[in-house]
Amino acid sequence: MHESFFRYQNFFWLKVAIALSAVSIALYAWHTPSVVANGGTWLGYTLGTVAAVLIVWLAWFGARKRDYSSSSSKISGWLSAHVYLGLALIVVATLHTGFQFGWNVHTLAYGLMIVVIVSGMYGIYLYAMLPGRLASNRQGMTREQMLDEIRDLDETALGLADQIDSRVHEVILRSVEKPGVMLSFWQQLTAGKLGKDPLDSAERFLRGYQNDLVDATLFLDAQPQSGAQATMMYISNVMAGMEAEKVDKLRALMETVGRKKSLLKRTRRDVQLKALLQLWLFFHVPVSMALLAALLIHIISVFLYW
Amino acid sequence: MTEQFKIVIVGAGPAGLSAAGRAHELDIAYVLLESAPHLANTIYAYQKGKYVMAEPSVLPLRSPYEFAAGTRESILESWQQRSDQLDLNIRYRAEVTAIQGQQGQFTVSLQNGDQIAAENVVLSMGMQGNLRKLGAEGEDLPFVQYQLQDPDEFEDETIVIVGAGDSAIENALALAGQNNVYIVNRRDEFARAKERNVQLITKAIEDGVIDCFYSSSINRVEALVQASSNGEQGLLVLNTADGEATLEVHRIIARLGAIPPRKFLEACGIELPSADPSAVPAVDQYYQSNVAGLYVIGELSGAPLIKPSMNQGYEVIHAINGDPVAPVDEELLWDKLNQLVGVSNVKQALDLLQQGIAFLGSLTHMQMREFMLDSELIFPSPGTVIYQKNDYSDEFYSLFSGDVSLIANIDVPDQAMNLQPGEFFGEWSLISGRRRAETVTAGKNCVLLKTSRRAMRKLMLSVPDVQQEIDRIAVQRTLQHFLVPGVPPEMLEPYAQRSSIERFKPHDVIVHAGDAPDVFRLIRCGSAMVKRNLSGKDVVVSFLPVGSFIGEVPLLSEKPSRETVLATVNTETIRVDRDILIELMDQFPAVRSRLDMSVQETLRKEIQFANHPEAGDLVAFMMDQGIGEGTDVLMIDETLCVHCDNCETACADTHGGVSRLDREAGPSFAYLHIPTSCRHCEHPHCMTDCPPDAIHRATNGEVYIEDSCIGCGNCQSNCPYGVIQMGVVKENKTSLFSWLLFGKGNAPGSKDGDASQNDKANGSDKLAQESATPKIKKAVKCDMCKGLVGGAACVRACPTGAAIRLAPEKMVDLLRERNRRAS
Repeated sequence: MHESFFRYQNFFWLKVAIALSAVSIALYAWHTPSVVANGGTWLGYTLGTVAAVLIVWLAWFGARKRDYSSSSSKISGWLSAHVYLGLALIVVATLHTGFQFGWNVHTLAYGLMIVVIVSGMYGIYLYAMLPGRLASNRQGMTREQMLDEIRDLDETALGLADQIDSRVHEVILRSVEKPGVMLSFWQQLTAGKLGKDPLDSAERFLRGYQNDLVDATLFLDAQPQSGAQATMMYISNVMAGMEAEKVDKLRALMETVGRKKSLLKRTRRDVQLKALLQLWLFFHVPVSMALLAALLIHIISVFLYW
Repeated sequence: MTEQFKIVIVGAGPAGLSAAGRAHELDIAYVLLESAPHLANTIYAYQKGKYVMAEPSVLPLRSPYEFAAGTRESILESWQQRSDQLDLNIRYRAEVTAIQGQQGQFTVSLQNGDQIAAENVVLSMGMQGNLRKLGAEGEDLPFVQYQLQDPDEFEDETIVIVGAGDSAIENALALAGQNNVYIVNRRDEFARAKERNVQLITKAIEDGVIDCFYSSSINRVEALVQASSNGEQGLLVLNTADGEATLEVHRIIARLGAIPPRKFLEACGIELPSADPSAVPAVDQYYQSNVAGLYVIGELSGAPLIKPSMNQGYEVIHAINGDPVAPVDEELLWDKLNQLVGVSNVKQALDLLQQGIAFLGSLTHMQMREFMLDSELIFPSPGTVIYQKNDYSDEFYSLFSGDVSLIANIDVPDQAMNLQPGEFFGEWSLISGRRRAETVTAGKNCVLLKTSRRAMRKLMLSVPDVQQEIDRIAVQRTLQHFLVPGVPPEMLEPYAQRSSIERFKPHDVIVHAGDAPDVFRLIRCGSAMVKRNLSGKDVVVSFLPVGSFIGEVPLLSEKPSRETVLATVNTETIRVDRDILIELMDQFPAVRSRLDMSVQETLRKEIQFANHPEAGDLVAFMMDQGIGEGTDVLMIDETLCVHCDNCETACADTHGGVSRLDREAGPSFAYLHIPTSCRHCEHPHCMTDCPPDAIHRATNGEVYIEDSCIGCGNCQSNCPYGVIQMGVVKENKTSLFSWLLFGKGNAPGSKDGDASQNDKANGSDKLAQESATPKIKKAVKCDMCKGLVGGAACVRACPTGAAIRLAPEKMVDLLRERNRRAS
């Protein structure tokens, strides 16, 4: 059955991580070195070695994930271990420092590690929260289907606009020509909330246009009526009837535009959610690489200046 | 002057060409007469680009002409070239109007008045020269046609297709894109055509792409005095169920099949065995009709396939020449049979097998030969395991001599059943498409006849006696397995005899709510779902896989059924009426405890569903997606899926760069997503029409396609779930690090089409390579990573645990889990 990486094998890796942290803390509390606690005591070296091995192993996840024909355990197990042991690393590495921080390459490595872990936590948050939202936002449609339907609605809107008048057609055409789903980084992340949307102005225009039409009709209705005048009124109402037909078309057009707008909103939301799910990795992974480099320098320099 | 030949061959189709070519090679005086201005008119009239099959694949070709599966164009071209090369004595536009005389002195009269003298005449004219017409007034009007070669020729026309067979459907579908198409079906459904075509046309009608007149016939066709504004030239009058209907049309295309030219044949003196218009002349083993010297080969002799017809052409010339050759399959068969003790020829060996194996008794010699081509004899040493319980293999075995033992329950070895020579086994998997129900071990001197699933199903379809005999034993064994384990199946014979097999199509009702509690059923193939009306709404309350009982609760409680039971896919049940079941319970008390267990399980399931009515909707959704016939389905939990597509990438990486699953495509319901990926159906649709028989099921259940795939695309169009693609598989993979550090090759798991910059830079080299070794597209589909140790790569590569593969019998667990989460 479906088993989230959080719950993998009944939280096996969470238990391992807690045990590791608990043992580290207990040792740290029990250990009373002759000097101030630091990475250079035997416990410091032990914790440092464990932390370094953990970091390398955590980074190895990226390679293991791509070894698709490997028959070792499932990737979800690896991710579970990656997450929980990564969190445990905060405890192990912090105790390794003995709380000795400074403006040096050692603390740089520690700082980078914390940055990687915090970005990982953000990733966990996203992985836990977004999939459900993404699915309910899609309402069973694929991205492709959403885009197809937007295209269909565009065509319907253009067809209707064409039947009203050229001004309306022009406005709708403008809203259709501009790409509805944005590609730039910020637009993806903000779901297009920044910047003007041609669809909004089209909608505003249509509303104004409709008001004008209705006003004209109301004006006709408001005329006092009697006898021969009423007959004349009746005839001009037939004229207004033609306007009324226009109003109907316009209403249909506005409905179409409205539907497109909501679908577009959902599509943008989809783009945003998918971008969020992926973009954090563009931070997490490069900083991990930087961490590996800093770690190497940290280890070499420690042994060089021993 | 009248010309004189030893052999006159009428009709330059596959059979006639082959005969003429052979006569040419043997230096016999012959002439080949063809009424059309070109060769092979039937194939010539095929739809443009049609892929022609070379069935049966095991049969060797014996002809001066080459023939392999390929497009209409390539086949016609190769035959034309060969004819030119041989400089065949062929006369085009030579329509034969009469054949008179007797052996040694036939006179063949042609339309243009010429007469040709012949010692022997070979009729190889097929039937397409005699197409069935509308049979109504106006059937010969110029806008009424009986063939369609190039559907692209017509655009924006109103076209009426008449007929309900494959060619009618294929024409209608091909034309519907750019024309307004109607189809006229005499019946109320499309029953004659291939399953896939039926699905396609039904869908096109549902979607409004094609309009269908069901239960309608042609009243008359009239030419319009003046073409209508849209250019329609004719008027079609139909008799429909609601009275007459008229349609203005550009064109009528009637695809009603062809029949033998009865009048002509009778005028030649040939007797037809029955008054049935489709009856073909009876011929002897050398294809000679009742008129000595007058031979009939090819479609007209009842051989509808191209390759056997070509072989007949070759053989008939030898027969006339006085040196008859043994049938082409003789050597193949002898290779299979020569290990049998005490036989000296194929006929003797086949006779022996037929005597030894009861259900083969009713086969004709020709049927037996065909059956043997698809079977093999095996001689396992004592103790060899033929197959294991829970394996997914699907071959069928007949015991010719020695013995085998069947153990259904490994924990109870003394319940082993020994089979006697003449009996068969393996029928359960053949019928149900499910795992083996027992382990079979060879005993002493064991000789087995092993037959492929495909051959066995074909035989059962074509010879009702075989189907009956296998069903007779299968019913006994199934009842024994599910109701009275441990009892010899023969003891159940009297009960089995009074049981019957019922077949249901998808969505057919098996039991109506309110039906009297007097029938018990056991599902032996397919599956069913149970619906109950809860406060006015039909709610699915249970799902019944193969081996489940239907009706045991009402029967034991003696109350009418409260539920409706529907077949989800093509389903077969064994029906046991109440009094028979009661007798059975009287004689074997074990039946009672089996039924009690089933009742408990049913009630438990129902309580589950009652607590979570939404689970019923989920079941209904899953049934719609073919889970009812699947054996292993990929399902994604949308609350866990982060859309990383690692599943697809893993699939592509482990399968030569072509992913066999499309994660995003496919429907979702209640956060459960079923991607477009193989369900490994119990009776795989893809297997139905595979010319090289390249699709098989491995012991773990995975349905896979072998390298022998010819890329015809039949499986792709037969799969109702759209999970088969045609792709070119790449051989080489690059390692992650050489890609990451040195930018070599494609990223791991990159798919066709996303070639990296490096490849683009070397584009010219690549093109040169490709044109040097053109690769054909082959069918690719999920094989459940059968070569990989850890199992399916898609599931193992999922980082969040969103992807799982599920067998339908585990579906209840899935629902239980989701219910738990919901509450």
